[in-house]
Amino acid sequence: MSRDLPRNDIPIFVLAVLESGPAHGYAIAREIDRRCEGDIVLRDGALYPALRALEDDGLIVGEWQPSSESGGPARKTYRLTDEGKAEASRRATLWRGYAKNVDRILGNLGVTDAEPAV
Amino acid sequence: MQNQQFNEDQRELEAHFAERVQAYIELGETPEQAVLSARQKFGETEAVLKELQYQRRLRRPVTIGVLSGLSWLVIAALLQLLSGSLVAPLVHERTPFPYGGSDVLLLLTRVYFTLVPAAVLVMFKGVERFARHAHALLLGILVFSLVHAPTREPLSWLLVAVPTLHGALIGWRLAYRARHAQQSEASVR
Repeated sequence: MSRDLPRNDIPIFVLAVLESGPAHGYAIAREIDRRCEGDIVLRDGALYPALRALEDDGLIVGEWQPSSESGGPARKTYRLTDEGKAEASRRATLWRGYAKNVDRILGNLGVTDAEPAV
Repeated sequence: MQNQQFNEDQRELEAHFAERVQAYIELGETPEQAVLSARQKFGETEAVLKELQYQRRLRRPVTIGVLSGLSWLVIAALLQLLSGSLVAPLVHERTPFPYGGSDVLLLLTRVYFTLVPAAVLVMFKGVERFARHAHALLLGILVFSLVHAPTREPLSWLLVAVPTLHGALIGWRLAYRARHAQQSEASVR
């Protein structure tokens, strides 16, 4: 079952993708799709407000680069700054803690093959 | 400058859209189908451009300064409402200083009950949200503190602005310490 990616969650996904190396907008969107195997739908256009906010906060830097293919359009490639790397790791820790707690609270709810409690 | 940014945004979005169309074509769709599929996946370019423009306006230092000043005024007004009935009788009845001393003391007590905590709160939350615009936040609060000066004289404004500045600096420092503590915690894990 797929669902739309909430806008507030996009920045951490972008930071996580850029942690692996610089990428342009389309490559970031494609990588997010690949990592969640289509379970979470990212509208490509929603990526750009997140990219601008991260740029404005100094967490990423965007630079225009000529296309690798001849005649292809120039593309803006983003990379993490040092501050961005630290922030990515901080947000990832917060997210993991949050996800772990949600998992604890939900318990076996919705798990179809869970064994009944004794 | 704004036009240049708009053009850059447009160029970037169009390049992205073209790549998305190409990807659908490579998956076996006809060019017409690919454009429709890409549009569905991407959303309307014009809407994204508008959103980026709006976001840029909202994140301008002047807008951030005005927003921080207004938030500070609202929080200070709420605190004044809550503490007003407490402060005035306390100062007037217990500290009958001559030569208007009671009024100054009343003003300072009000400042420390309302304006300073509001400045701490606004700077703390503001720096958390707009870390790179801390100066705009601070300036916004200081400019709006003119509203609370009892007269138009510079000395009167200083009586309000200096403690407010102190509160704002405390909020700024607290926000940085909280961020630093979280970053250290993350790097240890």
